[in-house]
Amino acid sequence: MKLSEALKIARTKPPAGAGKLKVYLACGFTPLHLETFLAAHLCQLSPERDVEIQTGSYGDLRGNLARLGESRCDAGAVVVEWSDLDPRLGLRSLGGWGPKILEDIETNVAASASRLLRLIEEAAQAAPVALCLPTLPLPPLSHLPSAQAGAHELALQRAAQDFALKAAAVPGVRVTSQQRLNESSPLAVRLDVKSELTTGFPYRLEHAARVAELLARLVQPRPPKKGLITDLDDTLWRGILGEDGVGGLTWELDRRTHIHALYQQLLAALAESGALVGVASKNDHALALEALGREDLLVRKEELFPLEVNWGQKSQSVEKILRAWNVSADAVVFVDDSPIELAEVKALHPEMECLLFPKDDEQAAYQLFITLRDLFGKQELLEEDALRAESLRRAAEFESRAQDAPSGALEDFLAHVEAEITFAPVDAATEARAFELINKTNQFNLNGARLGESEFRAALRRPGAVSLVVSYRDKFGPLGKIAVLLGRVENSTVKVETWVMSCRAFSRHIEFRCLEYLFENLKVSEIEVAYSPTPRNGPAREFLAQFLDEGPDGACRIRRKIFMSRKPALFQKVNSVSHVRHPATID
Amino acid sequence: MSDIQQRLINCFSVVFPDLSADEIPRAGSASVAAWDSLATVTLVSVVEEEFGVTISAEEYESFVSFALVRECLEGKTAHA
Repeated sequence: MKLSEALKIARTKPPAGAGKLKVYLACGFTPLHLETFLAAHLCQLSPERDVEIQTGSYGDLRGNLARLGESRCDAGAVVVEWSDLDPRLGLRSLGGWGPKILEDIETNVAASASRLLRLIEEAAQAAPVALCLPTLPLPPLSHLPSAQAGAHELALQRAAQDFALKAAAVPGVRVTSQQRLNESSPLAVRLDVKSELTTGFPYRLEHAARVAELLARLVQPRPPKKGLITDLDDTLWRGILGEDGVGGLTWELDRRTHIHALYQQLLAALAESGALVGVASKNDHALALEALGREDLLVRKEELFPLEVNWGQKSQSVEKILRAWNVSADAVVFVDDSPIELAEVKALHPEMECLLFPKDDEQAAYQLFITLRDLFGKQELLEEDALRAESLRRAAEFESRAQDAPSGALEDFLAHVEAEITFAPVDAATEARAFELINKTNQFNLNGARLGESEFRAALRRPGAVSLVVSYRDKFGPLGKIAVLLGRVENSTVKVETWVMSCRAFSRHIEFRCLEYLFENLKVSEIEVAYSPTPRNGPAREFLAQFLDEGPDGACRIRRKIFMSRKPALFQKVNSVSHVRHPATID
Repeated sequence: MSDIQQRLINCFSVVFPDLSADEIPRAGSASVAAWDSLATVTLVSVVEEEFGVTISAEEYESFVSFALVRECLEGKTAHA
């Protein structure tokens, strides 16, 4: 991104009524163009938000970190450079570069790092912090020839690494990847000596843009993709199944087809991390099953669901997979070696990321793997990630049995699935999953509102706050934590502001049990629901409409008497871990 | 209109979005309220980026009016 472009983007007016996104940029140098680039990247990542960057005082990183903690911003972006760890490592200080002071610099850097880490820990308690540790080259301190790394230089690099390692372990702190920065911003072209000396801004424009981009992506991480649909021939393996036969397919070093083995290995890793992996292939189904059963395949057949292998159009197979997963096209990546197939799928699903598997270009294929890792990258792996594929398989079985039940016999079916629901508050054990669900669920979602980490925490800490995390299991297996509800109690009303439920949990009457649970446990006469229509939240609307005379078109109230008279028979056994009101708000 | 003139107007419009294309050629730090030291630094960076030149610390002094900036740039491109 060029500076002129960043200036234009940063000045773009947000849509009317856009919510603020306040980010505190804490650094010890003049923030200058870094501030502009950060604002521009955040505007691009969150076009629906009104981005505001706050900055502190020049040369006072410690003070700025303290101000960040008090700023009530949604997030912090912290940049530490060598000169913040010891001024003698910057160009604006004249403390000497002689051999006698190197040991003292080492000691000072370690002490400064400890102090800064404590301040960052404190700031992260108030808002999430994206942290970038020294990116500039060290000044010419060493008496050694520049090709040789000296003990002092290595000690300083180690101190920075230790700092990064400790910071990455602090809850709420995300450290930028030096490897990713190195790829896009070579060390030799980062420092702008003239700018540092004349204005106190040490970065060249290209470097400032790269640092800002990484920080923005940690401040506003994009939701990870949920599913990957892969082709088989010349993609998952090298060869054409119908021509080469099961035994003729290869993914080996000796056959120069090892890149396909790496792709399989990546798919297995994505599946283990909770991504859904399905197959869309024009092939003979029975033959494909035989090939996928080969013991040397690096991704297990059980990790691939569903398998849409037929001679029909790829786009139709993709459509079936989306229905089986019940996810939208924009949450899915399609990988195929055929540009024609990619174009056909893209034509039907323009929101879907359609990526070419470059079978004859190993370097490009490796770049594809990095892109896929990035698209599916997530902050944390949760218990539900391991359950997801299996749970979908079970959900498909559940849906199939439920649909096969004779007309009017759904209740009878549900009565015999041995369902159990567990209600728990949002706490340390459940908050990561609750936050994830709120920020990725589209269909059963009251209003589509996404919450930043600081908003999420604030919602839990309000007086009268109510939070509910819902887990479900039945004889088909566990679904894990599949619903979250946030709200507050006011007089005899519960105001529900956030309510999301995973699409894997539809058709089980879990949503009815949630409301019943609130009515019963909070002893309220009505529940006010902050419904707002979105292009995708039809399931939430249909549910609410059952208890209203008309609508809903916006926020609505559900009366206890009407709910109790219209709800279906509920058969789930209910386990309650503790009271639904948040511990901090219980009198 | 020369290529330098038009490209420089574009640079100014990025840094001073409230100025119209007609006002920019007459713009100077004395007449434009938004033209402070921060705007000067930003303008220098945008001009360096656009024209692929390096503005020395001494040449910062010419960044007080459109006409002087243009003169500075013409001098640099003439010697390139």
